[in-house]
Amino acid sequence: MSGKDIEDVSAGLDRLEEIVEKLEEETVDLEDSIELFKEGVQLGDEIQAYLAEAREELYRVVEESDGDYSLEDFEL
Amino acid sequence: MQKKEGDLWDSLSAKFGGADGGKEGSSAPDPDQIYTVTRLNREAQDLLEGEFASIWVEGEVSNVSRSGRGHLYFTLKEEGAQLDAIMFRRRNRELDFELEDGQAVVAKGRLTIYSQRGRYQLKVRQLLQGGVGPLQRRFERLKEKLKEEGLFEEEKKKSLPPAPGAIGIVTSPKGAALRDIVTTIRERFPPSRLYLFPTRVQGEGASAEIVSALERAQRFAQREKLDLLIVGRGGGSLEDLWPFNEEEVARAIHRCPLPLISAVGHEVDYSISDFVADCRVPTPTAAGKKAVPEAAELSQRLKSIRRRLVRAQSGRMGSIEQRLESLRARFAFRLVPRQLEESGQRLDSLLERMGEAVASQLEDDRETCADLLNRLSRANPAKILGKGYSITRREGKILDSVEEVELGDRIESRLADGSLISVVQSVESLKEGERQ
Repeated sequence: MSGKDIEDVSAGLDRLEEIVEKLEEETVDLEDSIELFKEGVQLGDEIQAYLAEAREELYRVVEESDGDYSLEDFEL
Repeated sequence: MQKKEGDLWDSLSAKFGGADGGKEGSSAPDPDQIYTVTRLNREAQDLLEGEFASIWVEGEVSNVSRSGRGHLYFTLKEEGAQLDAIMFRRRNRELDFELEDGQAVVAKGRLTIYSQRGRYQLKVRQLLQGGVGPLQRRFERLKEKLKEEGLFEEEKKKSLPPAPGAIGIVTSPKGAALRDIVTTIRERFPPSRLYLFPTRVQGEGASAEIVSALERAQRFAQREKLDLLIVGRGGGSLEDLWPFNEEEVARAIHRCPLPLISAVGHEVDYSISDFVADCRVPTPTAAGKKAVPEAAELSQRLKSIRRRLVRAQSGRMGSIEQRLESLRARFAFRLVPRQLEESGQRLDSLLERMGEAVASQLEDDRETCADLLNRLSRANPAKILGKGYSITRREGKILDSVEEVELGDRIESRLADGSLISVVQSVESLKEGERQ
């Protein structure tokens, strides 16, 4: 769940929900709670940034003879 | 067609009294209830024509004859069954082949009753030679075979990812299907990455191209993230859709480890690919809808979870503060240097991390966090040093007993604003009663 681009936004939301539930239960200790809170805030930011992204491109995948590939912008 | 015949039988039985519905059979008939043959034929004709107004029938042609007026009469048959058919001159003039006995055809028309003879027959409007019949049979045979092999089993189907970040589209770069899929996904869920694996989707050799495009997509998925594949094309004739009914395409879809949506044809069209795929949708647009959630809905969900996150953490502040207060009280009155040091360090790092968290918090949450930060800061035991206490170490180890040092040891005392380095000149233990 690290890096700029969140791997799976749905899994991210589930994790965020899990964090909130743990904090709401108040069974975690202070240190863990701050760690969780921090993770939650970061995750929330990442998800929000991800959902706000609007990609326009459609890539045409072209395979090269050496097994590598390249991406070409494809206009509809 | 099975069901239709059942329905017709039901309505015929209701109207005329079925084989076992004739209770009046033993008594004398009511003259008003007696049909003339003409009336019976006409009413039966109405029923038949209404029920089978426009149907396709396949069969083998026999007994072809042309009347003086140019009408074509023939029989459609298969093993153990036959049906009279007539194609009027007006219609048969458009035929692009010579009708001969033994030909396999598919006829479109209306079922009717020829009242003079009391025989029912098919009034043919359109006639297709060979083709479709054999294709349909091949379709059914392959469907049966793959079904028996378990390729359609629901339990083996992969579930679709709820919000795929990268989607591969296997279709023609020229078709309307591609535009429909891309437009729908872009409208609903703009963040996902879209990759096109172009292939022809109809005509000779198209099925091999589809298989190769599917394999390219899988190789791509080993290097790049690809969560879902959509395979399909728009509507067309059975021949146009045929590549998606080929065994090699069905098997390639079945082998594919990625979740896959099949969108072949339009609404009513079913292909073998549809049955093998993890999910079948009726149109390319529906594929786009099925593939991704609405980003707006996810944003809404995110907003409400974030609100709960802040609420939960501020709710905890009361108890956090209390615990810090009690820690401070303990340090103030029962000075245990090691605990003081460790707690101080721990708090410092908590504060630091809290600070980072605050830095990235939303504007409307910032006040809450800043408040929490302030309260934590006030409770920091490190401030106790400011009241004149100090922490003493020897070789980095915190001392909590005079027995840990010997004369001549170098020791370091940490005060609020710096450190003192000293050499031990004498060691004096407190008596039992004087100890803290």
